[in-house]
Amino acid sequence: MKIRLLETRYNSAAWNMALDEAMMQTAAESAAWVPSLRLYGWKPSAVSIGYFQSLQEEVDLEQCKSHGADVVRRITGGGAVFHDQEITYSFITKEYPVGIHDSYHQICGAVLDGLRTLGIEGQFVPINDLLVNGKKFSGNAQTRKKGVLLQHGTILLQVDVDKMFSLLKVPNEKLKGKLIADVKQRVTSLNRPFDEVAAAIQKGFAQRFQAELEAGSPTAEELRRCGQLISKYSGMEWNGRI
Amino acid sequence: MPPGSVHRSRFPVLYLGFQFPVPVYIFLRAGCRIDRFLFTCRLFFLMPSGKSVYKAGKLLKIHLEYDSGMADGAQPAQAIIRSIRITGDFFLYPEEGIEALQQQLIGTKLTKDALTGQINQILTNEHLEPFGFNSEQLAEAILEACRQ
Repeated sequence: MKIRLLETRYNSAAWNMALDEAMMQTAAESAAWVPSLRLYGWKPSAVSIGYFQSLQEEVDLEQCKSHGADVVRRITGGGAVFHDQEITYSFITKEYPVGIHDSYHQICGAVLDGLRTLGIEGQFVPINDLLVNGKKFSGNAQTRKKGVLLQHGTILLQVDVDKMFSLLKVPNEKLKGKLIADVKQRVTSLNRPFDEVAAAIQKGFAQRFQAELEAGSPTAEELRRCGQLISKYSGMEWNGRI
Repeated sequence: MPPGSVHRSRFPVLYLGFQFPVPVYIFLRAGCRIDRFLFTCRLFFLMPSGKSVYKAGKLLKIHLEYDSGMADGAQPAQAIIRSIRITGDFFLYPEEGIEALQQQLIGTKLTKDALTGQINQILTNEHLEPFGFNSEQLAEAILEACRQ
């Protein structure tokens, strides 16, 4: 089995989400196709919210603007994420377990296999979290469309909880201080360089899927679709739809 | 309809609403009883609404408008959902099914059994698979919005 490896480095939130969807669309219509693993970062830093979240309720847009942070809505469910010092992966495949838990387990398992090569012993905690020493360092989210599965996940390399909460809204402002203290207790980061973790994740996917990774680039068709989708992920019709 | 003719509704009671101002219509519909009249006015002009934040496996945020109803101006009927918005950090497969879930909850009675039954039915009929909440938890989150 082969997996196409895309290392697209740092891009805007709209470009990153547009390429994920473009790769899904292209895969759905393509017969000659292999699974793709993309590793990437976000520049500028960004807040992404889940498919079902309310932009107005979750994100302080004024603060994001003043910090120069992008804001984007994902096509996957899950919660709001502050993408700053982290590595994000996207895995797109047409061959996957039917059960949603099973496919989360398989793909998150590949990430954990990779981190094990760095001596990091993490665990998968359903529905979608990865923990090390009982603390969360990774959130993952998955969608399936037209026979194609996309799972993307974020792996914290460094974490700044105070900055994160300056950009996010909380249900009760009075309890914000306590919430921040709770999150600091429950969240951790790997404190490793981007490239080291990226190399480890590649090993993990190769091992878990017994695959050979082949470095590649987005195809012309994927980039064409990505270009068309950027306006979707830059605009309020999609990002502010709830 | 010829010019100058009068439209006769097949529903004479409803027809009154076009001839009299709304408060008069409500008063007549309430059997000319002032207590029923005031109760119906409250329901007619002020549709109750509520919000809740409910922790299931994931967070459910409910925005709800409901109608306590007044069956034939006589007995208060069971409250029903008029509109609902469900947001949060949960998962639902396929994601677009959230629209059907919200739409088909309109008109559902605000009781635990009715809500749970309707949610189960929608999930089955629409082939939806939720992660981070189940039918009972969503029903409870909706009722919580009612209590706010």
